[in-house]
Amino acid sequence: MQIKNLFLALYWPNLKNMITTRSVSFEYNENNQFEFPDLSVSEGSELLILGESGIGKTTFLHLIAGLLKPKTGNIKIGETDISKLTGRQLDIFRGANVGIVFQRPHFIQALTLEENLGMIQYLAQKPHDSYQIKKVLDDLGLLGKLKSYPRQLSQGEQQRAAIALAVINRPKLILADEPTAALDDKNCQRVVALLKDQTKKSKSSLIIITHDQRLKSAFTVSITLSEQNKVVIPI
Amino acid sequence: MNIFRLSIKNVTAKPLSTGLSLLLLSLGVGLISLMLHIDKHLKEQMNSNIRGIDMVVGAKGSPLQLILSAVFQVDVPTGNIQLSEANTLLKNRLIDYGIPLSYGDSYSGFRIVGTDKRYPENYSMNLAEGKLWGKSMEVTIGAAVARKTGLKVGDTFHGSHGLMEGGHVHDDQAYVVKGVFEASGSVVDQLILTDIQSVWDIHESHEHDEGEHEEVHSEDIGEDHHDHTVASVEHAEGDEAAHVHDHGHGHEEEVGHHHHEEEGEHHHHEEDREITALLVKFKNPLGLVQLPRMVNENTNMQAALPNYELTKLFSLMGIATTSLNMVALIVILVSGISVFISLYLGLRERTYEMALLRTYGASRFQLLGMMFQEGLLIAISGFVIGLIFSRLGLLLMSVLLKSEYHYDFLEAGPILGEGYLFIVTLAIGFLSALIPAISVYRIDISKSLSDA
Repeated sequence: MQIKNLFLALYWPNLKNMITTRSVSFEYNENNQFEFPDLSVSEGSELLILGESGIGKTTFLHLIAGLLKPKTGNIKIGETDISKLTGRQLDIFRGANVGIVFQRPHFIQALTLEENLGMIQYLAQKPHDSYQIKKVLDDLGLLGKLKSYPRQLSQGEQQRAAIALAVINRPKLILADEPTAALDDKNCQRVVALLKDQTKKSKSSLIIITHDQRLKSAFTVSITLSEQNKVVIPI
Repeated sequence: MNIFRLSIKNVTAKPLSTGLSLLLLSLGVGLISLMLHIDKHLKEQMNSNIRGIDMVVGAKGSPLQLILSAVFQVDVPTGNIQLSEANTLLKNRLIDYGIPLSYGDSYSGFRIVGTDKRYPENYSMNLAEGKLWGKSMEVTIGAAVARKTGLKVGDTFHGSHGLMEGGHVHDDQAYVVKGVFEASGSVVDQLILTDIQSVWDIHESHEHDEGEHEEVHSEDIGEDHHDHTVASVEHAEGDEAAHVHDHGHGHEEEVGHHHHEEEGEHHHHEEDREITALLVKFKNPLGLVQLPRMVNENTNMQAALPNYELTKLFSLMGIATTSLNMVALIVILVSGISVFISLYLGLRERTYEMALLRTYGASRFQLLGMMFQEGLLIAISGFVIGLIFSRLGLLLMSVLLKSEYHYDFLEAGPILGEGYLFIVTLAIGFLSALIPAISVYRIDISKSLSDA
């Protein structure tokens, strides 16, 4: 079965593009191929990508994050074409420029929240900045959990802590993969607000992929992936 | 925060499995290190004590016992030999010299050995203070004796019969300390040396006092055949033949080379006198071939070769140490497997964590390094703890052996074997981390993140 997903490009002519994709395709194997449409998101803006499970949302997100290599096409973050970066360069670029919030929050279990954030600064080859760590945690209402281990946090706290990991390095691009799927309405709204707030503070661009229709109202720009290999532009 | 500190945190975050690996590893390392030390120490100690001694002549019996008692002063003597017979032997042209030994008494568990001045010379002993013994009843004591008994130059003490503490005390005659040797690491440290004459004198008077119940005597002999005749002899009532006492004392009859006149007073002949053992130095390597056989076949004495007996002893010990080392090696291997299992299982739990680290910029090599660091961290800590175990073991043995045999056992410096052991330990730490490290290196970030 061959699934092709086409995205319509969104152009924001007045602003610098933060992320641009051109004729990106990917295949796991012959029977499981994806084609993604061109996409442009400008600096400081937000995009919601809606779609049902299994039509390549996460694959697309991983391509944009540089976790997967596209079969064809190129993906530019800022001025850098990440599809041309290799190995170590890609690791460093990703560490410094991309923050990802996963559906289920995960941490380095042996480290405290503070140490987790310090580790992420280290991995991105940034200097240790405990002021930034405290500031981000304060914004997310987690300052009191500085010395807590991840398993000691409640689920809501873990989801917020996951946002902290994503924004600690002030990345150019913040990606969120189903960040609200496991949350109730109240927490869902809170997480979305925090994500948008943090994105603004670090002057990043935000892309959220989700099947959670609750998010639709919170975003002005959203696209929907459909099984019919076409993209529906919402009004 | 960096990868190295993360490795440490990862290791310490699993105290149970890390603790198990460390326990196994340190036990194995400790055991092997302890064996290496004991082996090395015993061999060194023994080899240094047989220097200058090519052959030991004593009463018939176990050759090993003869060596242990006459050279190392740890076993009871096999009995006594006739001085006359010993002197006859010494006339052999293949023999350079023979040092007579007569022992059987002790003070505070330290043996009193009647001999002549070539005995301390043979061990290159230096005097820390005082001088060598001169006349009868004067002694020069080893460093360990001085330290443990507190005897100083000028002090006097009474020897007691027998080699263990608690024997009959010869309270009629007191020994006078004339000098103290410097510590040498040889058997002399543990001995009280006196002239062969004093051992003789003491048992002479002793016999006169309580001759009836005395049963045993070993005699000391002047070694020198060339310069002197034998001075005096003691014997047990009725029998001149040497008896070995059940409790292992020798009784000495001494041959003083210096007291010709006194000899006359005793109605003894050289033939009647006995010594406990004779330490022989060959003039010619040919002696090694001819003499032991000659002595063993043609005389009532026994000749034993320290080198040969020690080699036999070491090979016997070798079986024991080899099996112990095998067991310890297996324990180390098991600990390697335990490290492997702990890393590997941990890895499966941590796949998402690894993908997370990769997502945030960690390279394959950083994660690879992290796994090796975790394996090596356990290996190195296990090794260090193992060395601490072995040192504690050495300390314990040293305390035990000191009270038992008066042997010092405190040389705890690192030895070459431990270097090899360290390399083996590192290799095990490395190998146990190898497979987990490769899996981490190959991790598919996207897939791991989607699966979780």
